[in-house]
Amino acid sequence: MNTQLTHAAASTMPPLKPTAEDLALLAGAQEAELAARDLYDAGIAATSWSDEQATLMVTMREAHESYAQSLGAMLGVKAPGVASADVTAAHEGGMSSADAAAVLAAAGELEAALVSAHLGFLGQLVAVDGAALVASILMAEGRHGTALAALAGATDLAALLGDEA
Amino acid sequence: MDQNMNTTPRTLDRRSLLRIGGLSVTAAALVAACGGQTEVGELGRVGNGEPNPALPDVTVDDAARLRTSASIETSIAVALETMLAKGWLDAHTEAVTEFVAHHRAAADACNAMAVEVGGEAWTCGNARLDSAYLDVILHRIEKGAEATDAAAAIEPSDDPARDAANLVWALEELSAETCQAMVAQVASAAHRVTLMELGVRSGRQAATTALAINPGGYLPSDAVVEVPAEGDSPAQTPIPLPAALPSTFGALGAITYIGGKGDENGVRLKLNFETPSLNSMVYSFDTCA
Repeated sequence: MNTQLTHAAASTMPPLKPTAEDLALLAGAQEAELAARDLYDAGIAATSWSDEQATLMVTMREAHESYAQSLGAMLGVKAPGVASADVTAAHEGGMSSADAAAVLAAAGELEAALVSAHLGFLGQLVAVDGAALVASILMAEGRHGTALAALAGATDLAALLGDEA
Repeated sequence: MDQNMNTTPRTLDRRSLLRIGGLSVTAAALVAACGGQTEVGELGRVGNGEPNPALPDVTVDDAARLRTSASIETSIAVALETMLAKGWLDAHTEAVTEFVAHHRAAADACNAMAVEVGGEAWTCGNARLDSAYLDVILHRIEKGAEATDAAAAIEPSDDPARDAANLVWALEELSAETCQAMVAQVASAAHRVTLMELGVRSGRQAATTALAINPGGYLPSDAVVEVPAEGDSPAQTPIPLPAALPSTFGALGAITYIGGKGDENGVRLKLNFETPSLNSMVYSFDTCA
């Protein structure tokens, strides 16, 4: 007898394509990412940066735009295409500071907030495609937090791993 | 053309009779050997060996996936503990000790989820990861490789601390990728969240390790550790330096590890870690020895 390899019954597997409820959650995720992009724009313009800092800030700004674009591709015509007013209001103070260290700290808080928000979305998403995309985004944003802490000069483990929040 | 070729009657000489007789005996022996054991439509078997063993049916369900995740985390924790015990990670003791605690907790969390979906907890490591990757790398670092008929012996690592730190980085990446990969495979949204909480932590540990190995290495570059040729020793395979942010999105690709002392041509051990697949899954019939 040959070994039979089977996957779990199809009826127990979630759908691939986002459900109507998923689309609303993914729209919220896109709004958050567009707000993050705009906040990075504000932070980059607010103060002067070293070459290393500027490279990393621009890289993260571009990353958030990529996340918004990927979510938009999944949402199609239902993509909101506008920044979240709530996310902007919560972080624009720190991200507009003239002090580079303050902006780096605010960016770290922004990334932590995005990770938390995406975990919230992930806990409600049903379909596989949306969940996989959100997972890949929040994985990168978690690492952004470590990079920002190191860029701000942190050397202790708790700060680098985000345990201080 | 010889017109008589088709009209000449063939005669049965003594040699032909012997040939036909021999074939008949052979055929009769084969039929006898197969007789009584062959159903209509099945191929007959020659000889009396044991039948092929019946392999168990395997199902890749959430229990198997989560048991596999637990096994990966346990293998990583054991590997980190082994390297700490050997003193190869003295420069990173505090961090790696904390990483071990995280991976032990991650294994427990994955096992709890596996039990929730009807599976059994798996407290061993991952046999495939251990035998094909970790045992090989740790042996190469500590003892090198023995000579074979085709290749000269390879010495122990020229820099165990470097190789061990790179292995820590690779294993943190593997943990992060495994958690992320499982999100697209498990059905429960709550389990996806738990997996990503664990995965993001491993990802941050990977980024922290990358920066410890490669200070200022936030983004990917072509920077490598090079050991040039010296005397009779050839140049060694360059070792890429890891980056804290290796890609825009969380990646699921192969994680390349290069380490150990190079062979007689300077070629170091190179292995690609990958997220779990069929031959590294922990199925329901597997038992933890």
